[in-house]
Amino acid sequence: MFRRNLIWLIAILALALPFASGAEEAGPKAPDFSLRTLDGKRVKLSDYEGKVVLLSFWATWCAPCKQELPILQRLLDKYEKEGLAVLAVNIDDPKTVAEVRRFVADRKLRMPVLLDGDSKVLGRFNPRHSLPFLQAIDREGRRAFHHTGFTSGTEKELEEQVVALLGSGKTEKSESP
Amino acid sequence: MSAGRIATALVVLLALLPSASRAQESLRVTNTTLLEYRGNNENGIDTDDEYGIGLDKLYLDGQVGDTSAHLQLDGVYFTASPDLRSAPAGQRSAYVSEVRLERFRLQHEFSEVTLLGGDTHLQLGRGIALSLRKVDELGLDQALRGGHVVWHGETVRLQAFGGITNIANMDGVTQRHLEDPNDTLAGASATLHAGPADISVHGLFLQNRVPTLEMAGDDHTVLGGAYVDLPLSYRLSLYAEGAVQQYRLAGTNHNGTAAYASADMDLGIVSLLVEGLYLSDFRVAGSFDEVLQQPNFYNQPPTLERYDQEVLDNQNVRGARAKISRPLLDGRLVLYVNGMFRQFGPAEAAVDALHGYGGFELTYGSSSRWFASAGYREETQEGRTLKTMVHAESDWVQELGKGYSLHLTVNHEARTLDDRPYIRGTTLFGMEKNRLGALMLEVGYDTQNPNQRQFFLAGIFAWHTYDWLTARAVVGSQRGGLKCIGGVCRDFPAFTGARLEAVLHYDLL
Repeated sequence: MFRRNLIWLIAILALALPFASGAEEAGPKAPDFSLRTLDGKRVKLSDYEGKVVLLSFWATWCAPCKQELPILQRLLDKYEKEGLAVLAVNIDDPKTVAEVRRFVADRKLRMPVLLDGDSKVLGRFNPRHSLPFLQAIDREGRRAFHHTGFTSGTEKELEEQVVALLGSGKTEKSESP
Repeated sequence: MSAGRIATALVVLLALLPSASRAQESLRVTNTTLLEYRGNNENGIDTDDEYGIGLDKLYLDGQVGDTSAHLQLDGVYFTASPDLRSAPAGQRSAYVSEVRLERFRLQHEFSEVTLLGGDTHLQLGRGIALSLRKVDELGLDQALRGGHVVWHGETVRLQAFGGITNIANMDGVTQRHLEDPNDTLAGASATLHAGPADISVHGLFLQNRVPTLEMAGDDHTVLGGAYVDLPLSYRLSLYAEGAVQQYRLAGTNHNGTAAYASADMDLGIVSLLVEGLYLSDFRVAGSFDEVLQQPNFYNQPPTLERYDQEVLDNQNVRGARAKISRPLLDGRLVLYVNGMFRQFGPAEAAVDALHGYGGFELTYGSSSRWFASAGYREETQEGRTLKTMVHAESDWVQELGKGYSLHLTVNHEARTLDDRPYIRGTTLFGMEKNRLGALMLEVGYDTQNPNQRQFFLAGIFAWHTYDWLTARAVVGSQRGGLKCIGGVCRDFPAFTGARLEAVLHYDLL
């Protein structure tokens, strides 16, 4: 029975791969979602069509996230007028969610902070739920590049990618095989 | 899970591919492959040693218009059954090789209504009544398998859900097979959005599939709760939640009560966060899990403790904590102190826990960081000291230019248990290179049990040149717990042996 199931799994993967090579140049549409912000507003991803959006999934216990968020704030300060938006989606669980508001206020973060309490939205972009996870979305609401994790040096590459997206005015293909 | 059911589900998804391609909609593929050999972890138990495991987790997330689908297919293969080595003939192994459709979900969005069928994660308020979440790929993952409908109005949000509880079937820590509890769960909530405030009420019914005592009849829980979230301004925010429940357990009726409140205040010179928690005989628990030797808990109330603190009892609790913080250097440096008192356990044998700690979080340069903290925690019962812990932590990342950085993380705990001292800690040191990977050395120690392994040493290599592919290799032995390597935080299980992990993550359409 196990061997038969394994054959099914391999067959499915083999069937799926040809579609990768047939993928069109345009990136796929990002799934829309609606979440509540820290200050009680409702935000939909589709409200930001026409802007380049950096969707950053983070938690207060995640050290690389704490390093990445101020960098995203600096990018927002620099490129907001050119059409950049940053949405910081928090996935803290009940043990630590009380920390979120103070974390944001103490670090002078001014981007909208969205609360994904049951991490459903994270699951749609990154089903492994590893953090930090950054998904860029172009002006037409399509997925562009994504980053898992954050290491020093990423900030320069990230700025180049954001500038390219802001300047292109059209969809960029995600870095896929 | 039969091959037929898996095949049917996947064929349905694959049938959507051509139309998705035409509509330029999406299909994201994520795949984790893990090859691992577990040697002798020297934990005093020889029924969890010396076997190999191959694990594959395939996730497909597709979307066509307003309809989206999610599948998670898990395949696991064990080279041996270590628990059967000295077991009587005929006993079944807890290490189960199988391919399983672990998660599936179909969701459709109407203008104001979301319909969802399959597996869904759910949380009500701050988890006092219900919290079914996925914490990590190899950690806790609880879901409701059934239906979920949400109506989002301008000022009102209504939701109802019902189904059976479903967990990730391979325990990430022990790698043993856990049976789905299949407890029946149903509930509903109504939330009023009044300006920035949310006022919400909810109700829940839980029927355990397997009663604790067959002869005593069924075990069930009925619960009602409410919360108010008042983000008045960035200077003041208030939150309050309460719940009452009646549950029947092993033929006995119980009444549980829960209350929680938090306030976040900007006092000018400093900021103040206070939390209070009261739980009296409060539990939302399903059927007993024979492998883990505990019930499946479906709620996760705040604990007042730090994220990585062991919390043994969160059913009878009275306590509060306060955290004072002060940002400097335009938020690049944050200083904080935290004090907590928590009394837990039944009133006749209550334990008092005190925890005080402080520290700082500094980000500097273009992407360097140094976070450090230290503190003291103790537990006493009727004046007698049960446990003490002096702890210190530091997490330092220094950029070196050209994408290189040094990373040093140190955690040390000097503990006593019934006046017997022991130490526990982990040091992680290495070099990271952006767009290449990380090379790390991890040293751990735990002297609590002289009959178990006390010293741990592991080498870690991570490779992440591409966004769509990352790989990680670990050789040696590691303590369990939350660790961040190569910029990614994961809740790692304890480990001895060798592990190779590869993650593919790309958009097929």
